[in-house]
Amino acid sequence: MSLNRSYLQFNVIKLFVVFLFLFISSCTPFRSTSSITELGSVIDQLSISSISPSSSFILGGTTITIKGSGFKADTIVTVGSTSCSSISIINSSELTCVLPSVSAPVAVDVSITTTSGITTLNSAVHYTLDSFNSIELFSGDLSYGGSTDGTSITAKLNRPSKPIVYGSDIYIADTDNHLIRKFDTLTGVVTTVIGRVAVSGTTDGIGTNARLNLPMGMTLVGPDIYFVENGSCLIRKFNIATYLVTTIAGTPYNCAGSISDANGLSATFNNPVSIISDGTYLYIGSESGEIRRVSLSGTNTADSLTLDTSISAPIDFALIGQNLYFVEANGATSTLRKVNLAQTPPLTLNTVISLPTRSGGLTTDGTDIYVSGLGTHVIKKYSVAMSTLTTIVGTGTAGNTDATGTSASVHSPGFMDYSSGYIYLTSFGSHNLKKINLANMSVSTIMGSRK
Amino acid sequence: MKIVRLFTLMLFSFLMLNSCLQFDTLLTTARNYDETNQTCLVSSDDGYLYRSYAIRGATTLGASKIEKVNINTGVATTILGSGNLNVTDGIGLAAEFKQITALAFIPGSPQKLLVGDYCTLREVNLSTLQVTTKAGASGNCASDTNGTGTAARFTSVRGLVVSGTTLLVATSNQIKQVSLSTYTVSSYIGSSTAGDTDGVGTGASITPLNMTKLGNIIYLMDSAKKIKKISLNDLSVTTIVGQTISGTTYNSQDGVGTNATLLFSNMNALSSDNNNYLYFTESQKIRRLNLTTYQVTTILNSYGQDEDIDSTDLGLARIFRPSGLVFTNQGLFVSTLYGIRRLK
Repeated sequence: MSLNRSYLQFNVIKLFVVFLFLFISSCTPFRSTSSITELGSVIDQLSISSISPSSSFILGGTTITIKGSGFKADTIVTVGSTSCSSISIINSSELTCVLPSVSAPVAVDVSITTTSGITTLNSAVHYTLDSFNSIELFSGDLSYGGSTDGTSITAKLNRPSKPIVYGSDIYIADTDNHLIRKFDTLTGVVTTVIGRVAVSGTTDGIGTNARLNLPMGMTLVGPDIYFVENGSCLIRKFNIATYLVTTIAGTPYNCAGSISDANGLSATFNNPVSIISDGTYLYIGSESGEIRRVSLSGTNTADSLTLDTSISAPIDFALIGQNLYFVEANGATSTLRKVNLAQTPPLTLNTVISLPTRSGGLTTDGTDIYVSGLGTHVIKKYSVAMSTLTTIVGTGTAGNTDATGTSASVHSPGFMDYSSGYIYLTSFGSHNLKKINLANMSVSTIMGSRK
Repeated sequence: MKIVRLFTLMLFSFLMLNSCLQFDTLLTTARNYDETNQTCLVSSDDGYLYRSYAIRGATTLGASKIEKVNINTGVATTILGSGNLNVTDGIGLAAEFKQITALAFIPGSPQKLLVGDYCTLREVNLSTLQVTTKAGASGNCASDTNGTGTAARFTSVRGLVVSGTTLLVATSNQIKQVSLSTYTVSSYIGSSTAGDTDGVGTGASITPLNMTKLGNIIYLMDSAKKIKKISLNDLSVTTIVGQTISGTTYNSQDGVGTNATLLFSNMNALSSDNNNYLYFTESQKIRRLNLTTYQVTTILNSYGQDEDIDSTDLGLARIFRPSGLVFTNQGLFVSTLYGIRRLK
């Protein structure tokens, strides 16, 4: 009897607990209803407590996070009448999946089904025409530049121009970003050292407080790198130790086709693109078809180099001794020219050799001259001794393939800098920095986009 | 000297795409950097996108080609433009465009593409790909002049919308109306000089950058960094969003109506969802205007990060210089220098 009473009491208690559980389950706010097949376990109770985000553009594709309880490996999520794809069970109380598309704006139920049952949250996801949750490439090419700092692989450039090798660092005029970037070749870290991305300006200052406008050509003079800005028409420098930017010549934005000779900041330059120094002067390639000259001393007096013959646009320079080589662009032709700076003006203009159309950057190892083919996607070597021009890198077709010599491909190669047996090359087309080993002509991308 | 400048310009054209942001400055120089960034985008009734673009790294500048993009697959085919910068009629890839700044369709006529090209209005028969100049003259962009066909003059063609049998053309300082049957051009909105004064019809002064139409209202993107509403019923021009901001300081704050600030350039565009929202591009943003509350909300912000990043989280996504933009039920398509991206 006692046993029966106890048994009865136990069953009453058990029944009470079950009812209490059902009552609590049905009254729990913000929980969906569910079919309960395992009443004995609260832990396994299947429920949905929240869905985020709860709205999506009608095309779906949005990853939603569902929180609740009772999620298992066999969970199926249904949105309206369609399965939610790519289900990822984080744990028994959280999962993610990707919403399907619908044909028109609508609010749909979301159901979760497991071997334990099914639970539904009504009108849980609202499909709309005004709620975007993702962006994707639809048509075109994503292989372009950017401004991200980071490692040599993740960092991006945006139409870079002149590289300058300084010890184990390489400074790059990141033209379209209005920045100077530094690539530490020892650590592989790329940092923005001067300027603010996408914000052009002419403000002098230290590092990222300064503002630049389309920096292009650069040249190293002692502890400073001098550079030209095509956008602002200024000649500026920054100190490598302090990153202090100082304007030394030019009148901001006075680029309207005229030039004037004067002391530094009163002079004007017509859209300068390149610069080199012999330690006494800066020589600047200007679109007006002149080689401008700025004294490195005093008030940085500016004038134009006096030649015996007028020239078209000098694009880039290389200096061997007192011989100043430059690429002259004249209509559809490019020519390698030379003047001897030791001569008494007017300097005699010498034609060195005809170059492929749209040749661009120059650099030298002190013996030979290297020319980039912006339009021909090759690098050529001009032997000063032999007067020969030879393609050393590039297939002739735009590409971005690291390889050796003419098996490698480059895309619109631009400015270069020679250092210790290597040429460092920026590619406008692929927004990266490459290194050419002159011993074997192997080409490797060392920073920026690999695409 | 001009040849020299041109060649040098060609050689370094890749590098010089955003030094200037002022439309009026650009018009006076050969270096229309920003306009070369401009890509226009329009959708047709028969399921295609049409995008104008410039050839990157080519020997010429300016959006001079048009591609046709399948709205379902994204497959793009260039169908118009030789790449040479001229206003020269012709067929398909033999035709030449100088600087495409606007594209539009007449509703229900998916085979007739209207093109604003430099300071001309041109029409493309998409069945034959014949390009025909209908109004304006490329060699004379000094002023807006009423007239018929190529005897009329536009300072530029910055926006096109069709209203019934009339085409509305946004120029540098006016909106002209053009008969789609005779191509007779007459004054409609805006005085003869650019300005920023609300008013009625030609009593208002405006400086258009682009425009779109929703019902009987034109929404005008104005270089005064404002969005203006133009009623086609009474021709009243009313500023609804934005405020006068002097200088070029970056100022692009979300807010309501004239408390919001906008940072437009000539490469921006706007498109409505045919309901309650207006989407528009800024130099590095995609923003949305609630047409009921006038709340401006940035939905994708790339300020300070000049690159493209696809993402399922728009907070992490970036877009590189968006320009053209069109809303469809396939998503919000945004045209950049390099192609088309889709928000969905």
